[in-house]
Amino acid sequence: MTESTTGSTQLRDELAPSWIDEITIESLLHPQDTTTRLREEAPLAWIPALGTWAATSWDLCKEIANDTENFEAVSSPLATRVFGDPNVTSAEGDLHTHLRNAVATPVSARAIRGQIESRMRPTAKGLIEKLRTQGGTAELLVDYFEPISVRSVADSYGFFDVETDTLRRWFHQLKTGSTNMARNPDGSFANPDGFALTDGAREEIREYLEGKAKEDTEDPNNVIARWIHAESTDGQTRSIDALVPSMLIVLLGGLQEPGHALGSTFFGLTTRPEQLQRVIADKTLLPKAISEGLRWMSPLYAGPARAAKHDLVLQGQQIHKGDIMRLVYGSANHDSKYYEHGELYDLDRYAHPHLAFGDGRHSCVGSALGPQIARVGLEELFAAFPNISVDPARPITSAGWPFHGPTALNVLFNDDAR
Amino acid sequence: MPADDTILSMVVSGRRRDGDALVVTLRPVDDRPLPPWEPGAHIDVLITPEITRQYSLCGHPADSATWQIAVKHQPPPRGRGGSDHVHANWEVGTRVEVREPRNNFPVRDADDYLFIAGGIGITALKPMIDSVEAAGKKWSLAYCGRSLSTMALRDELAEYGDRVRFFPSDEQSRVDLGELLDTPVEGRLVYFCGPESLLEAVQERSAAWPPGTLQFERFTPQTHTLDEDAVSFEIELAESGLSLTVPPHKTILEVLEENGVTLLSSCRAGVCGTCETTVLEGIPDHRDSVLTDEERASNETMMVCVSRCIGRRLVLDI
Ligand SMILES: Cc1cc2nc3c(=O)[nH]c(=O)nc-3n(C[C@H](O)[C@H](O)[C@H](O)COP(=O)(O)OP(=O)(O)OC[C@H]3O[C@@H](n4cnc5c(N)ncnc54)[C@H](O)[C@@H]3O)c2cc1C
Ligand code: HEM
Repeated sequence: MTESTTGSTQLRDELAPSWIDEITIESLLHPQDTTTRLREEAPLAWIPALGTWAATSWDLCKEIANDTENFEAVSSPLATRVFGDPNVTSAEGDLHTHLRNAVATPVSARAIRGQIESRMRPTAKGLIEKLRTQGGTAELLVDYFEPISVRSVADSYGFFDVETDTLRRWFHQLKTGSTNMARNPDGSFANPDGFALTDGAREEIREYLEGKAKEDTEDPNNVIARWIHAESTDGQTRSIDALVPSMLIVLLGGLQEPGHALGSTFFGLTTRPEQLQRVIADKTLLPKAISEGLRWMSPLYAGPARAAKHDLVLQGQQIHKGDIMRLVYGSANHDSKYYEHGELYDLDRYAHPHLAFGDGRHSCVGSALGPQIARVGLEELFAAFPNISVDPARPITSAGWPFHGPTALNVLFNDDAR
Repeated sequence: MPADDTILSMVVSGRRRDGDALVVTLRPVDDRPLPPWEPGAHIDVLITPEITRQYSLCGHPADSATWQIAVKHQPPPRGRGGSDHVHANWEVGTRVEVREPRNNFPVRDADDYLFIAGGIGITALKPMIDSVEAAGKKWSLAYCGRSLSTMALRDELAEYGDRVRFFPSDEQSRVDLGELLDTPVEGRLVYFCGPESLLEAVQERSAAWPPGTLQFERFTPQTHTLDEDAVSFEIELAESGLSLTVPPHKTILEVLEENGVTLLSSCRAGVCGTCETTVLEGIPDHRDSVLTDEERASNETMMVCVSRCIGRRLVLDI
């Protein structure tokens, strides 16, 4: 589908419907109406407010994610400032394989199997006991979904000695920096002080990893020590400093996204009370319910960025070398070409693979772990409180760009089950 | 709970003409209680082995002994034969196979509802109207049609008095969409079902309403294979000896789960590798992005969440 630069091309400005110029970052916090219209009228569009292209259809997202000839991973100035570069999301080739292996091995499909019952479930059960002491109300994100996620992800990397509250603080500190988007006209960051918390967390995490690297290399759970001391077979240097940027991405995305996956699934089910009842009665429906939650409200809504490797023409539009393409997976997952009434949560939907974890060589390394955390979390929640319901005084809403999810999940339950 | 794919054997237990539709009552052959449904739901009717069509359930959700559908006659060549077959051949006693209800048009909670029906679209709205009335909500209906004599379910609706207004176009009675829609009303949802031309007009007129307030369903024919390459095939499970059919719109994984075979799965999109399964016979149609080219070519394993079958049959080591 991608063509070379030769041949007739049209200018971005002539082609683009004018309403696209009016899109603001603010309006993208509630992206659905905008992305629906983009899919219908301009599935590949230059978005002035973002300073990037946005690919919003399923086919385009899939194509660009897998097209290594024309597109490559990049680190945005913000990601470089917050995490450091190179990191797993920005690297390609051997360096990417090297960094990816370092962060992916401890959370691979094979590695996590043994942890589900031994670690995740006890974590969930412990949190449920706490919920029972709350007098029948809870805000699920803060009281349950977030702590079960951060604990389970950290445990996979053997970070048992970091308190859950410290993990949450790290991830919130990293998040302040990664949403500090405002820039001056010259491109410099408008609020440089807004990175202070992030820098503090990065330093703390670096020190922690250095400490880990010095501990017992024979301990099978100490994946950091084992990784750093393993013989290098790929010609890449193994150092904590080289690992930190990628570990920070895991500690931000990895700690946040499974919580959002739980939140989206729970929110989606509450829009279909009959389907919620079915899932509560039959937990074998949960894996499907979770993947539908991920499709319906994708946590990394405005997915990753790719840069054009050279000038090219795509869908009749001139793309310049270095232009950034934003793959809007949350929109691709509502594409009417593949999903009938994509805006509805529907457990009985006809199957078509979603793009909530992206695709290709950069697809999410937590795609095996994340849904298991969500499954165990919801299994325990529904078993403990089968009559759980949304607090009618505080209905659920969602927001966010590039991360999207419910803003709060205030629920009521009674614990007769005890 | 069985999945939507379960086929139910029904028998026509009543039929009457109502406007240009045939209102048909279906009862299960075994007289067991029917699965529950909510207003807005429709069923697939397997009219002939080649023709499957969708019909909205237009009776009462509380009735678990029978279902009602109203089928408008679309004579060929305009229609492709589904409704024609129903009108020509269905008698009391005719056996009919249907799938379980699906709902793409659920009623959301609101203080106040405006319903707009065009022609046979009334079938999807009628149970919604009954349910919001029962819940004591505010509502009104504008029902447009060619002429009063063609408009189905008119008698039942007339009982609701002046909350229902009929607009038969042959009597020069045209609905004033401007009056209905020009001023958005806070807390009101608009539910529409009817022909494409009217839908466009309604969408245009309701541009000023907050996003999400206009809800609608199209009755345009639907083939159900959004993925045109998908076809059905058989899987045989070596351990249990089970033999199962995977229909075009389901994955192997879903069919396994529905038959009580549980397999760990995570992403269900072909990227994580959790559901990797050993293939003993047959050639998988690999659609994942986990396996390497060599692994694919060897056809030793497959990701059952997305991959399918080249040919008619696979034997899996589960
Ligand atoms: C969710 C849902 C609920 C429905 N509920 C009802 C109901 O309650 N009552 C009812 O009578 N009908 C309902 N329908 C429509 C119904 O399923 C059939 O389409 C209808 O009965 C006509 O079937 P047919 O085979 O006679 O004609 P079809 O071949 O299905 O043709 C029907 C109309 O579609 C046009 N058409 C034919 N082929 C195409 C095509 N490929 N693309 C676009 N247009 C085409 C024809 O010109 C004709 O106007 C519903 C449809 C859906 C999707
Ligand atoms: C369950 C919720 C999660 C969702 C929805 C999610 C989503 C995503 C998406 C969309 C991408 C980009 C894919 C692409 O470029 O095409 C990604 C990348 C990534 N994710 Fe996740 N993620 C989740 C959980 C996790 C977890 C639990 C971890 C870590 C343990 C993690 C670590 C990463 C890393 C390291 C990358 C970069 C991979 C690379 O560029 O090679 N994610 N994720």
